[in-house]
Amino acid sequence: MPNSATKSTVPVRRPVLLMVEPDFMVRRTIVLTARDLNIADIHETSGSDAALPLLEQAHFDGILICIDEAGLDLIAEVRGGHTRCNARTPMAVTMNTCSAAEVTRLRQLDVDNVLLRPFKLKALLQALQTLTSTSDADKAV
Amino acid sequence: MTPPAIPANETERLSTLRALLLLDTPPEERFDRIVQFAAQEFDVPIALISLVDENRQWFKSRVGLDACETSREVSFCGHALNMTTPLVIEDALLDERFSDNPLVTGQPLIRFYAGAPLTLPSGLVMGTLCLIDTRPRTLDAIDLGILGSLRALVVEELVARSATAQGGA
Repeated sequence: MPNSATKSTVPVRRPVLLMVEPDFMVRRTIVLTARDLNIADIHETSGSDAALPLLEQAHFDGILICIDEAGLDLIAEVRGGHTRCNARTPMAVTMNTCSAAEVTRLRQLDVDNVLLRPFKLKALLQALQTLTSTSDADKAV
Repeated sequence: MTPPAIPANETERLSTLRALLLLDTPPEERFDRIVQFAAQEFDVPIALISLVDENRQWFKSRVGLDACETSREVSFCGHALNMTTPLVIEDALLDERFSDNPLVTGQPLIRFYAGAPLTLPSGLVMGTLCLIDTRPRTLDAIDLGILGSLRALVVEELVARSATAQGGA
């Protein structure tokens, strides 16, 4: 008979991520798969404008942003400590193209991973796994 | 070749399938979008939404296949009706249920098959979202997760369709 007194079950909090992605199918599939595979709970929004209010209200363990017109400014807001997130929150971005100037800017903003479209969902999920492994959320609470 | 077993709830299943009013209807963008996405994501030449009718499987959406239906007796998807998890055949030539199947020995020369059952909230399975390749393949946990999520999107559309059909009845 197992001795439950000697087996401690330490609760582990699943990381909570924010995903900014305009493509509905990409967004929904990633959210469902990440939950199914126990990678993370993902809050989703279709654009950077809608993401800022979320970042001002809640803490996220990692952020995945599709770079639109306001995307870099959004990252700068987080890095500047102007949101509820830790200024060093792990971030990854997706982009249609990436110029040398943008690469430099992303490096300055300490962005961990850049995925260029078209990408596979699998690559995106692996990027999310990397984000969660560098966040603090997988530590026992 | 092993013909697919008939599910115990076949009468109820067929009744529900026909009540969806989807069989023999024109292509719809909401289903085609998911199937095209699946074909691209998994780099497969063929992807289908297959609805398994009494004697046939009929494709509501298809990429890479001209035929709009095949007989149920030779269908891979018929086998998936009795499963709760995706049916994955990594190499049909090595599987005695399928090695002499005419869809394996002849066109479309199926070697790899992965079919995620389209299970309604009632538990009845209408068919599959399936991936087909002409070469052996494997799927890892992330692949299966993505296939399961795309299947969930198809089921959401079927449920919405069911509500519409019932509302119009």
